[in-house]
Amino acid sequence: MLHRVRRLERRRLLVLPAATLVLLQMAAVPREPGARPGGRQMPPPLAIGQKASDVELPRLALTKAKDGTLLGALSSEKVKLSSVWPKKPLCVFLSSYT
Amino acid sequence: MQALYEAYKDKVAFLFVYTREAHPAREGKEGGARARTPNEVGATKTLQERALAATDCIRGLKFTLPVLIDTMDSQAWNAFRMHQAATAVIDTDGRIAFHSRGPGGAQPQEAEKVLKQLLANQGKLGADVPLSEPAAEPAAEPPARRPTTR
Repeated sequence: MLHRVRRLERRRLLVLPAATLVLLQMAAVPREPGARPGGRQMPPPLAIGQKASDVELPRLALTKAKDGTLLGALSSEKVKLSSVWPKKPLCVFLSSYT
Repeated sequence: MQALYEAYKDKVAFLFVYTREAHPAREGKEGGARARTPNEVGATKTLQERALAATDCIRGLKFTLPVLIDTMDSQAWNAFRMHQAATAVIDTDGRIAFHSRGPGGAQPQEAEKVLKQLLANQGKLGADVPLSEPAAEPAAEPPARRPTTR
C-alpha cells in the first residue's frame, strides 16, 4: 500500500512541472484579440501596402423564382480578383453564415 | 457591409466571398443549442452545398453584393488570412489598403474611411506606402475544426 502511494507521489512530481511548463509556454505566445487560448496559431495579418494575393473563384448565379424566392446556383463563370482591382478599388468581404 | 455597398457601388467594386463555415453545426444534430438559431449550417462538403449555404446566407442577411464561393481548398480563406470573417480593401495597383479579421472582422466604418482616402487619391494608396510582395501563404489548409455544439 505504502509502495503504491509513493509511486503515485512520484508521478505527481513529474506531471506537475510538465503541466506548468506547457501553461507557461501557452502564456508566452502572443495571441490576436479574439483568438482562443491554446488555439491554433494564425498566420500574421496582411500588411498595408503588400501586394494582394490573386485568387480565381466561381460566382454564385442568382435568379428569382415566380414567388420571388431567391435561388442560387454555382455558375461556371469564374472571377479573378486581379481582373477587378485595376478598374476600381476592390472591397472584399469574406464570411460564412455561421 | 450592405450599407457600404449601397453607398459606394458605383465607385468601388464589392465582392462577398462565402467561405467554409467558421462554426459548423454538428452533423445530424437537431434540437441542440445551435439548432435554435435560424442560420444553422453544417460544414459544407462540396461547392454545390456551399453555394446553397451562400444562398441561404444572402437571403437571410438581405445582401445584394455579388457573391463568389471560396474553393474547397479554401484559397480565399488562406489568401486573406481569414479568421471567422474578414474584410480587405485593395487599391487599383493591387495593394492591400485595409485588412481586418476576427469576430468583428467586417468593420465597415473603418473600411469606409480607407475607401474615401483611396477615392480621393485616384483609387491608389499613397506613394509613401512601400510595395511589398505577398507574404508566404500558409503551408496547407488548416485541419477542419471539430464541429461545435455551443
